[in-house]
Amino acid sequence: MKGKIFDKFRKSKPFELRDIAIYCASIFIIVALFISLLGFNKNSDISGFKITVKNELAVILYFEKGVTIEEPFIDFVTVYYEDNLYTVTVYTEDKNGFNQILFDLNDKSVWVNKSNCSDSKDCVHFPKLTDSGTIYCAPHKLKISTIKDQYKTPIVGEI
Amino acid sequence: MINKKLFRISLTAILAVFATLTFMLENLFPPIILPGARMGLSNVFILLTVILLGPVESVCVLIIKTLLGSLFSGNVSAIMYSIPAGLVSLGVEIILIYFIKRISVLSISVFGAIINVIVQNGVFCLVTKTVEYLVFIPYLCIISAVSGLIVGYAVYLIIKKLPKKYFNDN
Repeated sequence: MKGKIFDKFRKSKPFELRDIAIYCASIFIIVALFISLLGFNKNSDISGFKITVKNELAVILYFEKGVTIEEPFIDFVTVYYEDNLYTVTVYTEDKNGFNQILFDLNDKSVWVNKSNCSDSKDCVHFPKLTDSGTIYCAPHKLKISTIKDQYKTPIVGEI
Repeated sequence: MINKKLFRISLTAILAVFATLTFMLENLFPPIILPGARMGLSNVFILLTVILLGPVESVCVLIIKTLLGSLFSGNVSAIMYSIPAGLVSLGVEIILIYFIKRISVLSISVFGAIINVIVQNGVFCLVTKTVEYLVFIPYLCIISAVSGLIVGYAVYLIIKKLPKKYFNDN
């Protein structure tokens, strides 16, 4: 059976007639995904970002009020401020692992600058967060996401 | 005279080693354009295992690659979403290889790569509760389709060059 499979692919060309169906199905899946996820996750009125570790809120980065650290994480977070730029370093429980997060008040963005999470360091390569999205560091279970404006002045007539 | 059983075990082990090494090497490089986007070159060896040895051996290679690769590259949590994604895409590839006639290995590789991305990111979003990450999936699908083509073409070239006498049924 395996010999037949080997022969089948040995004789095959880089393009066969039935490939059209497979490529069409692939294109259909991609287009369907684009359409279904169009406009997903757009927040225009955010007031800052939050950092959670293992689904527990650790740090809040407000545009107007600055950085606040939650009580259980005081020993595991360091904050440094210079020229409208916060450098927040979040350490793991054993203090061997860390994620250095930069929070820029000028363009209201946040990103992971350094980390020792894994070889690939996916969190460092995430694009800057501005008005939507999430940065996730899987090895350290650290998540950075936006927070909606809780202190927005209500518009007259708005429910 | 080749001992068939020994040959199969040895070849499975060699392909598993190559798949793991490629996976680990790839992890040392930054992702392509988007976070988490990789070429998936280790899939060359998994697809080769399906064609040369069979489904059971390919599942073994996939599990060895994911477990050891994630462990050595320091991302153990990746096992949670890499194994289900790998198994589903491998299942799809096996069905296409064994049950569809006149189909090229390139298209199988492309389709498998797209399914892998969808399942992997779906599971990732569920496990990590990061629904926002779903927006990356269509873009990752495009990257994976291109890398699937490259992987498929590599497998196509390797199969053409392999000596036929070792892979006959009798």
